[in-house]
Order: sequence, then C-alpha cells, then structure tokens
Amino acid sequence: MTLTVQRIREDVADVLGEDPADLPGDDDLVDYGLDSVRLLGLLERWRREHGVDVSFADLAERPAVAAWAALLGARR
Amino acid sequence: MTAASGGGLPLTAAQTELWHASTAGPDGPAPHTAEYLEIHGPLRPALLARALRRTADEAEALRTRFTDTPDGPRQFPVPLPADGFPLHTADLRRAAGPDAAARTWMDADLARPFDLAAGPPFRQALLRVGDTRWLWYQCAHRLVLDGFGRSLLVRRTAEVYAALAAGRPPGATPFGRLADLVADDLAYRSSEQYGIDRAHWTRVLADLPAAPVTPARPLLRRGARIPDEVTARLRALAGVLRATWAEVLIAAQALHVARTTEASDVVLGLPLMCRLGTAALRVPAAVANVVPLRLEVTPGIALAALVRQVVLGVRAARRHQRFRLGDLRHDACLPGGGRPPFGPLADVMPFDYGPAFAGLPAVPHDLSAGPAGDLALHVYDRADGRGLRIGHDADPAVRTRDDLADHQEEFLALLARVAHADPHAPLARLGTTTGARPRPEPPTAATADRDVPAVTHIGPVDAQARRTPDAPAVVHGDLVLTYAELTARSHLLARRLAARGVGTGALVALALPRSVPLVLGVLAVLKAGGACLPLDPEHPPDRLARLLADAGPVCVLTDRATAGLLPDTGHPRVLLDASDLPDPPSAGPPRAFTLGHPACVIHLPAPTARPRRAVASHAATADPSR
Repeated sequence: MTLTVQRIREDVADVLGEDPADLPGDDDLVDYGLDSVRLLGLLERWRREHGVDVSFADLAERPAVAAWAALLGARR
Repeated sequence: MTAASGGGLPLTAAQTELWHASTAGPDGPAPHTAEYLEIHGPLRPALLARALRRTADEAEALRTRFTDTPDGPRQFPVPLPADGFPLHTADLRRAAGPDAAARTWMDADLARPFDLAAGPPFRQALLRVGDTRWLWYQCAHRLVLDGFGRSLLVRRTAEVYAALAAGRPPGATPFGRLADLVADDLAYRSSEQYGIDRAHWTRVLADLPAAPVTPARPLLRRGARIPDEVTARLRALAGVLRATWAEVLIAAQALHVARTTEASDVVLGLPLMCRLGTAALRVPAAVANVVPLRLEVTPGIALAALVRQVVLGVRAARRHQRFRLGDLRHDACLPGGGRPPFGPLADVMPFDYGPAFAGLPAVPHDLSAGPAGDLALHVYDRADGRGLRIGHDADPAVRTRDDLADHQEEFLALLARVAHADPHAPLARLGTTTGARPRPEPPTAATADRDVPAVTHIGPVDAQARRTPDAPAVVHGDLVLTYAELTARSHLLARRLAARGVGTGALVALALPRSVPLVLGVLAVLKAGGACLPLDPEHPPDRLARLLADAGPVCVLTDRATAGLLPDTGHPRVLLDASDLPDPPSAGPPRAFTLGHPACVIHLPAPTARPRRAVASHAATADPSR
C-alpha cells in the first residue's frame, strides 16, 4: 500500500498525541514533541506497512510532514 | 580544513569531557565502545574488508589521532595506511566452541588500549564461527564514537558492501565532516543558549543528593528480552498516558532503583543522543551526553504520576541537552574528582539497525562496558522486528552474578505488573519479588523489637464482594454496608491514605468506633498496603501517647468524635467523615452488629516476601467481631 500525505499526517499525529488537523505542513515536528524514539517508531511502521526504504538520518534531517512526503514519494 | 593542515582541530566539548575522564586514571575499564554483528548467510569476507575500508575512509571523525598541546588537546585526521588496516580475521570453525572462542577473543580485545597519539583509535574483526555464520566485531575509543555512531557505520558498511557485490559504485558518502562537527560545537559554545543551558544545569546540580561512585572495575552485564506481549501493553499504556514506551521504561527503572536502594529520591543518569537538528546527525563521532534525571518515587505514587514526572523531566533535559556537565568541573558544584552527579542509568537506545546486513539476516550485540555504573539499565530498540532487548550492569564488588540475575528477573516481573496495572493505583501495591530469594525487609516501626499490640484478621472481602456484591457486609444499628459499597468506599479511602504517604509497610494507627468506620478503616489501610495499629480511645491518654511515640505510624485514622479523645502527639490525622459512610436507611428494624464473613483477619501487608513475625493479639482491644 503506497504511503499518502494524509497517512503521514495521521501517523505523525498519532505518535505525537495531536489532532492531524493541528499539524503544520512545514514546521519542525521536534517543536511538537518529536524525539528519536517516536521517529524510529514511525520509520519502523512505514517500513513494515509501506515498504519505505530510507534511513533514520534521512527522516531526521528535515522532520516535517511536507518534507517527508517529498522524500517518501507519497501521493496526495 | 584538510588533513594536511598543521594545527589540527580542537576537540568538541563532548570529546574534551571524555579526554579528561580517560586520562584521569588508568584503573578504570577500557574506555571503549564496541559491538558485534552476527551475520547469517553467504558473506564474502574480501568484499566486507573492502567495504570496511571504504567506510572508514569516509568516517573522518573516526580515524583521528590526538595530541596534547599547550592550548589543550587537538585532533588530527589520519589517512589510513595502504596496508595494515586494523582488521583481524579468524576462522574459528575448528575450535572446540567457536562462539565461546570468539567471545574470549573479543573480551581480550576490548581490554587492549589504543595509542591515541598514533591512531587510528578503532579496530575491526571478522570471526567465522560457522559455515554460514560470521561475527563482525568493531571497537573504537569513546573519544571518537558513540552508540549511534556505531549504527551509522554499520548502515554505511552494508550499503557499500551491497553496491560492491552488485558491481556498482557505492555512491557519495552520507557522512558529514569532522570540521563541520567541530564548527557546530564551537558555534553552540559561543551562543546565548550555552549560557542559558549552563545556568540550568548549575541550578540542578546544586540541589542534587550525593551520587554513588562509578566503579573502576569492569561491570557484570546480563541481557534479556522483554516479552512482546509486555512491550505491546507498555506501548498502549504509554499512549494512554501521553508518553512514549521509553518514558514508561524509565519510570519502571526509577521504581526498581527506588525499591532496590530503599530510597524515594532517585537520580537516574539519562543519556541523550543529541543528534536531531545538529550537524552531528550523519557523523560517526562521539556526541552523546548524559544528564541527571531526578524523580520522587514516594510510597503512594501511581504510575501515571511517575510517568508524568519522567515526561516533564526528559523534556526539560532535552531543552538543555547540548551542555556538557564536564564544563562545570572547575566550578564548586561538581563533586570532587569530576564524578558524574547521577545514579543508575536509564539508557534507551533507538538505533536503526534493521533486520539485515545487505540482505543477510544480522543480529547486533552490544559489548560496551562502563562507565555505566551499578544497576544501569540499557534498552535496545533496533527497528529490526525482533522486539526490545535490555541489559543490566552490576558492580562486582557489590553484587554477584546471581544477584544481577535476580535483579534483572525482578525488573522483568515488575515491568509485566506495571504493564497490566491500573496507572492510577498506588505502585506500592505491586508485588516486589518474583518469589525467588526473600529480600531483606526495610525496617519499620512494626518490625523492630516492639510490643505492638495487634491484630485481628479480616477475610477476603473483595472475593466475597465479587460473588455477592449486594449482600450486607457490615451492619451496625441502622447502618448497613453491602460488600460492593464496602469495597468501593474502602478503595476510595485507601487512595486518600496513599496520597498521605501510606504504602507498603507503612503503619497506620486507627482510632475508630468498633463498627462500620473501623471495618472500613482497616480494609482501607490494607488496600493501601499498610499495617494497622488499632488504638482504644478509652485507654488513658499517656498510654496512647507512649504507644504512638513507640510505633511511629505514618498517620492516625480517626473520626471527629474520637479524635477529641486522643493525645496530641504530632502525628498527622486522617479524618473519616460523613461522606465516607453511607446514609443510614430511613426505616428498617434494628439489627445486631455482625460481620458477613465469620473469620475476620487483618493481613499484615501481603506484598513483602517474608511473612512478618506474628504479633501477640490483644483480642479484647482489636477484635471487631466481638
């Protein structure tokens, strides 16, 4: 199943305990409580469920929904 | 800045701190960070050797030499020699026990020092232990590498190996440069944030209790897996508490350390990666920091409250995580000898290894010993689908291997109970042992050699409540309490008592009329994990005062009417009032006082391993069934 932008937003909101609608597209998710444990959890989930092939450092470099959508080739 | 530049580079603050620690004394364990990767399948050793070499060439921060200068220590990138790459290979298949032989070799290598002045400060090994089983070992001086850095090396080595195996170029290096790392560090240390962070930690350190000394001996280490079912529950629990599973584990470590050391003021050591949002994200180097995390594990505390402390404490620590406590070593607030100002570590490592090395199944094994300290907990999340692994350390001068095994089994049992517990119930009610060896009891007034009058026994009221909730449990005059009501009200009262500090082993004096309030009070104290000291308010006040002074209860449970008859001994009072008791029925025939259950027993606190010594019963005073 291909990853969508909406799915990224929902999964991130899930680990941060936020409402998906409250998540900014471009803002740094670290400011919203994203840490290494949560980041690795997201990576593991996306690898398992969507066959994503990026590294922890790839995601950590620009931790934002829009940046991840571009990196992961997520469709809208 | 190139390798040819004469002056080299200064050290980062992290490296400076490690430099002083490693030169402080020769008696400590070798300051190395090491691991091995167990690779299954048709590995090509020559290809791996090339991949290792390529990766080491790219990891500039790894291949450096260090020189002490009048301006302080400096580091110089060292090109790797054309021959003599530090890779040891061995085929151990014909050894009597290949894995044991490999472990012996690795343990010996871990103890061998590095020549920091000459470099390079790392070593590799490839040990064949089976036809399709290989152990790839890597060891480096802590000055140049940390745990996260090791995982970066593993990932890049696998990438290069896979590319070489497929006959394609490995692509540009993902690693950042040592010079950028040093520049980033310098920028931070000249920033306003540095001053803010320094002030924060100076304040924190000024207040901390004395820390245990980090042992100089190599530590004992024991590993285990957390069962998947427990991990799943911990994740769910964390979600409910708006925390991560890591924070719940840190809370569990705090609880376990509090019980083991019999202290409620716990200062854990919290390692932080310090990689997100910095130039260090893609540099195999030594970046991790360790800061104190102080937690109050009071007797009556609930998991939710403890986890909340952890969440807030970790959040505060992260805001100031780039500051190295070593920078305070010349200030008064760091203890003598620059000893780290914290106790056991709560070391959670979310490092991305994945399940395979270039398509071959691979399992990482951490080998790093000290300076973790006694009772350190390490937790490994490797994103490899194999669940969470833990490691415990113990100081061999204080604990045997059996002690360490017991300690770890206790932790796993505690974790399982925490995972299933009501997060708002007092943690003191969770059991303390696995039923292995009996633990020494903490001394309390009740177990000291005292003539504590005592106890009647109340039977399993809760069990009866489940069977016949609406049956009358306690009747006194017009007052009827059903089993359901008795259970509910005693539970509420127990929580009030827990909030006042009543927990396992706590003594509560009861001065209540021998009727419904006393039964409620006794049950509530037991539920809170405490023991009862019944007081007869008809006894002379100075006798009561002596009794209270002798026994030293946490509080006195009484009601307004009875409180007036008690001497003022300064012990805090918890008052039962009308809201604790049900309203008397408007009509109904008067009935004799009875208790639903024929045998009334007050259990001394259940969770302790050894039964408390039996105490003589002053039946006339204490038996409410009469």
